[in-house]
Amino acid sequence: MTRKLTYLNYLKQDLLPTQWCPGCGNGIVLKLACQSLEELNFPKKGTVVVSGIGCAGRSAGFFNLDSVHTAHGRAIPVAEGIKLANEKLNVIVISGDGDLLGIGGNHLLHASRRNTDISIICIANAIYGMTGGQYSPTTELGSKTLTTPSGNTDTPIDVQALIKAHNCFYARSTTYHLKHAMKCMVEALKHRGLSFAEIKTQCITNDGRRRGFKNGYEMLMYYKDNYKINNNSNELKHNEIGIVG
Amino acid sequence: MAKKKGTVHIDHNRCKLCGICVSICPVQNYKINQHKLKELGKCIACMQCERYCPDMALIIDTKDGKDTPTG
Amino acid sequence: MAKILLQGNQAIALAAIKAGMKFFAGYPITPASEILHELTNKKEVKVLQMEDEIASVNAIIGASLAGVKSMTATSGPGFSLMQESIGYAHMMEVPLVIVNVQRVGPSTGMPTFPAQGDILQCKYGSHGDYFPIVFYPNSVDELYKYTITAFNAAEESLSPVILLSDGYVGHLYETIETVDYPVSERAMAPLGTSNRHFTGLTHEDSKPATSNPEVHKKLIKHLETKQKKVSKKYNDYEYIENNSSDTLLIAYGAMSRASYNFKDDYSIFRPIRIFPIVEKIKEIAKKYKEIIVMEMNTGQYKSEVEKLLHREVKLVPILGGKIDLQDIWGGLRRLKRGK
Ligand SMILES: Cc1ncc(C[n+]2csc(CCOP(=O)(O)OP(=O)(O)O)c2C)c(N)n1
Ligand code: SF4
Ligand code: SF4
Ligand SMILES: [Mg+2]
Repeated sequence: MTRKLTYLNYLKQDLLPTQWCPGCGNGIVLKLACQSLEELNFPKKGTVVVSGIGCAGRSAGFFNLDSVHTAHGRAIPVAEGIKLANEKLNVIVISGDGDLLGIGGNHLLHASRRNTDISIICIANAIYGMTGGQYSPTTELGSKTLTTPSGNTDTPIDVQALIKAHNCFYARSTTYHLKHAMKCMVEALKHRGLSFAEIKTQCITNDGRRRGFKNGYEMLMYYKDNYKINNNSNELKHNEIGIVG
Repeated sequence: MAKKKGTVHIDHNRCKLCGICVSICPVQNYKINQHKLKELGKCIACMQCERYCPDMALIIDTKDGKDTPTG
Repeated sequence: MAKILLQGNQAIALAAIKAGMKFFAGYPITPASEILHELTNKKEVKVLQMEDEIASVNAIIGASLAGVKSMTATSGPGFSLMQESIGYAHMMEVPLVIVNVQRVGPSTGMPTFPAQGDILQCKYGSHGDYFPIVFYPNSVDELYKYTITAFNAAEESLSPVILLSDGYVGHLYETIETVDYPVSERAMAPLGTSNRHFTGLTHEDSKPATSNPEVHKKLIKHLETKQKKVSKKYNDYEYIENNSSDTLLIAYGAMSRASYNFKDDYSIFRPIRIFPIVEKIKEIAKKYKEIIVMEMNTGQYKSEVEKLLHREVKLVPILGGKIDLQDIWGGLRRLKRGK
């Protein structure tokens, strides 16, 4: 008999396949999030997932629990309202880098000051995927996108510094480092107060291809070669992944 | 490890033919042929494809029924 | 029931608690801030001062979905910032109360002066089609009553209901009786009890349906029908008939208080539920040769009344935040002389 993927109980399986592109990393993050929920035995009743707008923003809709798909950039204030109205709920935000750090950046700044007890999983693909590949607040310097054809000249946002400045939880991983990424999510979910897990995730269609990657696999290998796990630091360097708590 | 054997279940309804499994499999067990993912019966149950599949389309059953990933 | 001296804004705060509000999020702005101040430290309510009005309205959307009655209060600039999320709340059918204590705009305008420039923004401020219920009381007593009414209408319609006020009524002090008005209870199950998906995308049965025109038409029809049905319960208006007058003055909010000075010469109609427009105007208007809207803008409600009545409606606009009876009288005289 075929083994059952028990973590899939957290998803509305009739909605699969997702509408994400072949090779898109969002599915990996979705899966890891479910595995993390399973690991922690989070009850489906009593847990709420909130997303904003974007490819990543479609995540919430797949969960087999009450979920909210907010306006662009507004996942965090909606999540805060939910949590503060009913402190018993586990409130998880899963959304994109543009959504959480661009249009919704001010909310993150202030939610972290308030240290509201919500867990944020950021699908950081360094691009505005849904709208065709414009540069985002996490696009690397020099990176070519639809709106930075000669390479990005704006400094990417230092989320780690922002989150740490307010003594909240920060972790970073990639969709290549599955076990590590899951650990980051589990710790973020366990953390009391605001936690932010930034998962570098490949967008092959509107980012990777433009930068010369042929497929999702090549982007995963790029993460493998470029990010090193650092378990012993309270400040991650640019190319490091880890949990800084 | 090389002796271990896995049975591959492909959910063709979920598979989008992204090819991650094709590239990641250490024994080249997958092929995309005529717009369909085929497996060639060489699986050594390393679990990499199941773990990386973004669409939850692959399940590997190991011979001894255990799903603990090796490697 | 008790007699107390209250400021208009204070009355809104106290009535909201009476209506069962448990969550308030807001951002300071003149002339609405007293609502935030009054609620701070009230043990019945969780009060959040947010980073802006977008955060405020979204926080109350979250709180309401989580199961508690929620409200925010602002003035024009903040109301403009909230517009996207107001449409969102209509689409997701979230009960909310949004208070807008109007001041002179556009932009920062005249912060401490009252105006009525946000009438059309209430109805058309967000993109897409939606059918808001809007109340506009004109006294402290009514602000108390209609805050509770707004909460009830919000629960019954599962929609964000707008309570309009202005810097004049909001800052007015009057002695009122705090009547125990009936309160509608929450019908919708709170978040965390099921597997629903709330989305601003066009949807059917919790599922997005972004490329099916039929689903969209059905959804919009549903929103429209629902709002019409609930608003029928609240056909609230005031009509002061003057049998010797062939002219009907229409005024609301601060301006309606000024209009009472002209009741010896005119009949007066004051809509309280300003949207959807009280249909009764149609019947009453038939009796009059002339209809004049007096309002603190350049004709926003006038255009809506004209659209409803299919006839010409005249206007006395009062701009700049100062309500001067001489000005109004002058305006009425000019209309009489046909200028
Ligand atoms: C107010 C508003 N502005 C713009 C848009 C268009 N828009 C939709 S998704 C998106 C970018 C999303 O980027 P990100 O959060 O990084 O998600 P991704 O698609 O990359 O997963 C934009 C700009 C919108 N929906 N709403
Ligand atoms: S555009 Fe990019 S982020 Fe969006 S689904 Fe496709 S690969 Fe994923
Ligand atoms: S489990 Fe490993 S060996 Fe088996 S098909 Fe998948 S990647 Fe190849
Ligand atoms: Mg992105």
